[in-house]
Amino acid sequence: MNTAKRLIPLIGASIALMVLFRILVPGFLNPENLVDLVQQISVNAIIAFGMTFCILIGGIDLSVGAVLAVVGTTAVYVLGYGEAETQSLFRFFLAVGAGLTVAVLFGAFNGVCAARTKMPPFIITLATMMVARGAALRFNQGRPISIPAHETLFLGLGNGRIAGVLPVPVLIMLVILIISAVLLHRTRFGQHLYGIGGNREAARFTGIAVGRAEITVYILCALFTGIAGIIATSQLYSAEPASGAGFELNAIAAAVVGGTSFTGGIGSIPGTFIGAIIIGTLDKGLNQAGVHFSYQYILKGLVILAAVYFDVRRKR
Amino acid sequence: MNKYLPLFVVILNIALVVPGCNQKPAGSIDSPPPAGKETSGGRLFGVSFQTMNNPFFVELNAGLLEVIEAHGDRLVTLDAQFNSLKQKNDCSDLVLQGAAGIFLNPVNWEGITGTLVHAKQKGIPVVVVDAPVKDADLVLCQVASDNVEAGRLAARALNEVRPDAKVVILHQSVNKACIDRVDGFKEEMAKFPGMTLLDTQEGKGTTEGARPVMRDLLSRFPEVNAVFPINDPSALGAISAIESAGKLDQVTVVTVDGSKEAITAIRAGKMYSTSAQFPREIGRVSAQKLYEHLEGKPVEKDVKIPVKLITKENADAFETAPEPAA
Amino acid sequence: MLVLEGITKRFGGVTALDRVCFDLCPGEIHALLGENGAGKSTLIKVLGGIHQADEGAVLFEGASVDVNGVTAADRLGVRIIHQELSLAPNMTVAENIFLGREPHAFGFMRHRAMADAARQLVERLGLHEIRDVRKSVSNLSVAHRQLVEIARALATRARILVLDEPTSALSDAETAALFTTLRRLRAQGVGIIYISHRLEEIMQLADRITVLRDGRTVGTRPVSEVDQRELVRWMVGRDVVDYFHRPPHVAGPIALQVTGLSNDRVHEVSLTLHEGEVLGIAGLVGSGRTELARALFGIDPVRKGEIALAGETVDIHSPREALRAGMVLIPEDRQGQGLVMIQTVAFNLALPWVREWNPGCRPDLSRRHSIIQRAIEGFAIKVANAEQPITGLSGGNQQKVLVSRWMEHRPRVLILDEPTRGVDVGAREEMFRLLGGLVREGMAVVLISSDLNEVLNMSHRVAVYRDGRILKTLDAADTGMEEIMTLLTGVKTA
Repeated sequence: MNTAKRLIPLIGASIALMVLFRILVPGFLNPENLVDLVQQISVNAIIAFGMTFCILIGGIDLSVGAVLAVVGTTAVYVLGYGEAETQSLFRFFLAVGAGLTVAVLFGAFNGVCAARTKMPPFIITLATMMVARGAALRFNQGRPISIPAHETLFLGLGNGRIAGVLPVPVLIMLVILIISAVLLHRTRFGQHLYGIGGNREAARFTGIAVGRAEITVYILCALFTGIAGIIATSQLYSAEPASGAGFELNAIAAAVVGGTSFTGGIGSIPGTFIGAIIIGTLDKGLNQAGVHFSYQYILKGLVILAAVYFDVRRKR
Repeated sequence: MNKYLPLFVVILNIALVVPGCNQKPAGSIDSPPPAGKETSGGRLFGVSFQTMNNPFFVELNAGLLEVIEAHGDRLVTLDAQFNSLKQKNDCSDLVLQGAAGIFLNPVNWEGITGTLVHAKQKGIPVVVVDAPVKDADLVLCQVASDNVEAGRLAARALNEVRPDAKVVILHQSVNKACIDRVDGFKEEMAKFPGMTLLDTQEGKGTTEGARPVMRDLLSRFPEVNAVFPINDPSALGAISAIESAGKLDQVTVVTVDGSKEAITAIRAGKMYSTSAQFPREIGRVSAQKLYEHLEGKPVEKDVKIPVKLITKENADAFETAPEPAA
Repeated sequence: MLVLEGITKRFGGVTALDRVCFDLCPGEIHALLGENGAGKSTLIKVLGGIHQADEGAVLFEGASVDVNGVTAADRLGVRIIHQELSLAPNMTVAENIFLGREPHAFGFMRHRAMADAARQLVERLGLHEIRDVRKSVSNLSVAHRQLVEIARALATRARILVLDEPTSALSDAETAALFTTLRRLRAQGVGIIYISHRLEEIMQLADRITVLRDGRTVGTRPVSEVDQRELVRWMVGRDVVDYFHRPPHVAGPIALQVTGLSNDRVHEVSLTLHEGEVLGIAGLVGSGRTELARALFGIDPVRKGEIALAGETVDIHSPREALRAGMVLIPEDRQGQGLVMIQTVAFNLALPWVREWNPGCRPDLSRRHSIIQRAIEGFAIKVANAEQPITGLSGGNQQKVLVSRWMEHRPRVLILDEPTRGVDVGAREEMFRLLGGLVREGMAVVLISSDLNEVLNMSHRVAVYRDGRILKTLDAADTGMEEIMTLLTGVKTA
């Protein structure tokens, strides 16, 4: 309804960007390049979907980057445990499950702290970010851990292609996109989140279980981060305890460019998706147009600023 | 209509600024010519560094640029900011654009495997600079300083002044080049029975990272009289800790890199030696190797650029001509 | 002293003020009266330099002046105290009074000098209640904070003091104290423009009254020449006989039984409420009325006591449980606790019933629509379109949204905390008429208000509430304001 209208300028902006880069970089819109674009944004987009939930209820999760690292290292640690020679389905699921469990634990902790204490989420997740980073660095003395080459299933999560065309990370991202969009835009839970983000007190007075919803949101965000962590780890053929630094900022940028309001109560999953596409297009386009990396930062900063400025203006 | 304004402004913004930066030097392009492949001149090369926040890589980039521009080609320089995933994405952008060749300084020596496979499929040669990659078969060649030798030189220099050295090492153990330096250092150290290794700690390879670590080591080991920080920035951090402990005359610092700051420290007597690397030379050689390959010549897999020990005696000469001695 | 002549102000196509005339003498209290949206606030903003008039002139002491900005108004000595207080709660009284013009020496604060100056000012104005100028504002009651605002406004040479709805958060005793202060200022020669909905207090206080309706001046009269009835007709443009519609007292079975409810702010409160009955809670601001509502509704924890709805003891720890038991609380702070202000009217109306129109992941939009329509029609909410932002509604209509959305399933017990704050006479009348109908159908209502008139005329029984306790429960029909006031303040009012 209302969200669709908000998306039009965003879609317009992303198309305009692509056309612009098509002019600057011949072949920019080649199918192969576009598939690669979507695959490049998949990790950020998945985290950003979770971040959208957090920001929507007036929270934030700064721990995603560090959680991503700890998930990857945990999974690969489990995968390599016992130094098996062949791959087993059981160990694959055990590894993925262990990674995601760690993520959920961090999310639950963030959520319970945010919901049941008066500590601001910014500080809570800043602290868990450090804890998670430290936990990740405990593995293998902070050095990357290799994924054994025979673990083709795990490696396939990040590097495989379905029918030789669709990269697996893209498929996973699309699935999460649909799940998140349904959750936020179609369910009672989603409607409650808009209520909480818009006015927490009022939501409580209407009988919404604010605390429970908040905990769920942080768990969801961490779970999505966990999934992104598994993909990223697989893409890198190894778990990097130091990886994921700054990922929270990229995810926040995608959500914000996609129209999520930092004060809470406004935002949408398709918006965040387009936000991630815009940022990914910028990254790729500026790289391929041969723009010096220093100018890339400046341009990206300006684009984020412009997007948010016009979004704020439009809201008034 | 007003609500579509953001769209136009964003486009305008980019349209205005992008051509603006094209006129800048250092890795930019004059105009976007077709992603060239076989044409001589105007070909596209790309280089991805783990970070550009290090004068070493800035020098290395300059070396690459020197050779590539001489051929009338262009080079795109990308900064991975220690983010493996960004490096992977940056490289796949270059691959898909049909770059004639890619220079790579990996963040994570196996994290880049996916990209290398991709490049190999597309037939794009990759030259690895400075730090190695895990799977050497996937790349054309690896060009780096002789890091093992740099470590050996440091140990040998230390033996000259402190045969009884009680050493601590400030490591950066995620970095293969540093691992090599430490390996070389320990290998040579084993030849001098008077020297003992007290401890190895993570100094993160940065000035800020090394200072507190060194401070702790000094108080834990009052007897320490030598330190091997694996690069110049961490050596400067160590020196600052030593200086504030008032132990400058008791602790000998030997390191690897050969930066301006290190030479200043050597001349001030705060540092004993640094095993100088020649980043610009690494860049030049890397580019030359790639061109040799494109011309159809065979290229050796492992190219080592020699290092040179700098102490107070040759510091002045080196500073005026920071090029490898002929 | 001040004359506004033919002021016209347009916003886009809407004419907010249409050739409004107004004048003010020194040492006069001139009341500005009108329903919400009548143009009072716009007129004040023109005077305060926030808006510029499209037509008309502002004459100050006979000379035409151009009030083209806030500083220009400030220079003329116009001081406006807005409805929402603008103090920094973490700072002291003195710091607030001198905020932005602190006495300093070379940039260093002179705390002692500031405190002394503040104390002198407060003494001069006779605001003895805030004599302790080193007290943090957060420790003051709303009424005392208002006095700080007044002190701040008058700290520099003020000629004209404008008060916008100053008593909406004050109890009757505090209102009386404020009036004493205002009369003293009048005697000092300050011209006061006083904006309010409350006819009774205007009749008591003002010298002259100007009524605005739909952006036009209806008339200006000395207060001695008008009666209340006439003013109401001027304001709403028709006769309002009695805006209270107390339904006949037909008490059914017990709806709510509270026994010995206690927590930090509520002490041993027991009360009984029957179906089809309105129980008024009369208490001054700060008496703990709101805390009682919060305890009943499960927001603040209860230490002791029992709550039974329709004979069944219930354990209430959260609003969720209270709602499930059939109790609804309409909070005092409409925008802060009641509505999601960034959303639409429809969103707010449908929010409590998401479970019904969206049980799974396929929202039933027609069901949602019918819920919204029923609420809008049930309380005659004036909206152009249900999907319009709720900020576009007047205070009265916002309040109606807040109440009507719960009538989808009629609650057993409805607790209204200050339901008419910032609601104009017309909407007030309509809301009470509709509520009266629901009470007649058997709904039980707890009505908390600092407007004694309202409590007495709408309730069947009145509980006199002070310091977290019910002092006495009286039959509203044979109780006078005097009697309640006596109980509330503990002293006999004149």
